[in-house]
Amino acid sequence: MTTRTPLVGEATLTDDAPAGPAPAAPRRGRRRSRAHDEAGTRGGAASLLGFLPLAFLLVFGGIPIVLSLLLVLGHLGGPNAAVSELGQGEIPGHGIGTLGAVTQLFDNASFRRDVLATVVVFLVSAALVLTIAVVLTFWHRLRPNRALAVLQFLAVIPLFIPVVIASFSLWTFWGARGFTNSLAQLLGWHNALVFSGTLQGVVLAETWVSLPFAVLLLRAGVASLSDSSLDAARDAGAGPISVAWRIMLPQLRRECTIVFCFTAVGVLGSFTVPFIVGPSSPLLLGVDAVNTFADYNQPQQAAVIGFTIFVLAGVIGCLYAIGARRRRVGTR
Amino acid sequence: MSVPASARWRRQASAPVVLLLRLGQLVLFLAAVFFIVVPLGWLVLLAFVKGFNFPSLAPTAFTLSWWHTVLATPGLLHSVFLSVTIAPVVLALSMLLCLPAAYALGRYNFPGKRFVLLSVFSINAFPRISLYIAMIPMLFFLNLMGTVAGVVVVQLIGTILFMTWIPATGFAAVPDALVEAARDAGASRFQVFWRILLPLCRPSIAVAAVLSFLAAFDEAQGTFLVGAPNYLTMPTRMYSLVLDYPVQFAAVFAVVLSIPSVILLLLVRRSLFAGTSTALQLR
Repeated sequence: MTTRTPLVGEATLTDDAPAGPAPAAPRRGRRRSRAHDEAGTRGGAASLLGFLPLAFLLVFGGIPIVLSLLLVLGHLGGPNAAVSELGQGEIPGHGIGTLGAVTQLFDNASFRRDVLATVVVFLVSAALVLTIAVVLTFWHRLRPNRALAVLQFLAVIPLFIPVVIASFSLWTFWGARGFTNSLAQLLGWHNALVFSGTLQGVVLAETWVSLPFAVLLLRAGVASLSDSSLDAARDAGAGPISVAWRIMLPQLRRECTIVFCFTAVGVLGSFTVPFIVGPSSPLLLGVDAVNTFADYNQPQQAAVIGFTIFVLAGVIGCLYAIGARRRRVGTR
Repeated sequence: MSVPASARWRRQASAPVVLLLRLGQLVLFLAAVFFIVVPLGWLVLLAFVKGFNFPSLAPTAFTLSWWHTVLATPGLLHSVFLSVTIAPVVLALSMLLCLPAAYALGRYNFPGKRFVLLSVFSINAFPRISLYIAMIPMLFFLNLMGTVAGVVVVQLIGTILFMTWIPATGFAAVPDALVEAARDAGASRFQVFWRILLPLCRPSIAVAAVLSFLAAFDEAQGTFLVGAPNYLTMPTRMYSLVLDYPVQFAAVFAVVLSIPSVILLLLVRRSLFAGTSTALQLR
């Protein structure tokens, strides 16, 4: 193993794939083989190729984020003139800029409710996904049997269904005239199982679409745990639950952190699920942002909502950093 | 000599505990079927029924008429046309942009390499919809809003990670010894690339291509933001179908739309499950 700290991306790629771009790094210390030696002489050309996607992402990802931030702060001229000429209700700023658009939105009680709803939905969804995935994969690791293997297979099915279709399918299934409510009515249980148009429905659907990644990642995680450590714990008299809690969970903290954080960010950045399944009020921020731009023609306010999502994602990113660091400290 | 812990636990567990575990499994199993499988079955059923007399779960009649209605709706065929033309263009551009980079990242060490890898990865770690929202001023500035080119750009963003990371993994996995042997035998650098690296990396490129194609084909939210109202691809259409049409109508469209995804993912499912990280990005 190398001593360098793994990058976020490398961790996910190399953990599961047999080899990744990362393994090239340890070669740095060794005498270079001829293949790579030649590469070294043409490093200039090669690195130019390597930077191609970065250039694209800079033009259509990096620079736009800066422009969008300038728009938030009220800089309506320059490259932002094209969008601000068409938009309405902009609050111009001078010098460093103004937070006028931000305070305008946050002064609005219904927007604050949207933010709160978004936070609750992403926290609950991520916790639910993590819990289900942990139960399924840990149980199967401790007591492997066919039923649990089938269960894990079922949990991966949503991967094969486009998110739009999944949302629509769940919307009709949990709707007022859907399968579940029909069933409830037939059983004499009135309007008990209608989740379409509610935040619970959004949580349900977000969990549905996020589950495959969580199960696949944790399945790879539990497979990497050594039998001997589990056996040793068992010999010391630990039951399955305490082994799961005290041996497996601490060792898989990083995987669990990844699952939680990626689900949370995925939910934060989603539009399709809350748009189709969710209520018309409170809105999740993704829907709010699109409506503000497309229906109300307020690009500046939409940009503010976009940045609100970025900030929430940043908080999750910090959580991720903490979860990943503790794991590393613990292993040394 | 060692019996797996699981087996010993099983032997040790008392009868009520075993019963409880079995019961727990059964509940989980039924829940999974109910939450995951039945909604999809319900969707397929909807595409073939005339309707229901709520709350009865027995269809009033089976029919194919919704399929005829969908085929006869002119705007929808335009969406199909857009979807099947834009997604391949996005795939081709993504390959042009990313495969050379994947080759460089997989085979060479150069300054800034980790930065490139991290940047490519982190753009996908951004919350997607806010990234699209942030792109709007730039797209207006470049006159790309409401154009096919704008839609291509938005869909391209979602393919970069697949097309860079997965083939880079493949290129890096080719043993140096193989390349050296070919060079010793007098092969030029291009020959090495064309006759050794490329054939060996074909599987990883194929997986990346399938995932990229589906990422573009199934992308709805960014396409909607940039392309509406003139350029609505199939998944984007679903937004209005859900609101304005009978559910059976939308169900037919949904079934048709899921076919490419299901088939292509089944084709690459093995490699997909091996490289778990890629699964995340499908959304």
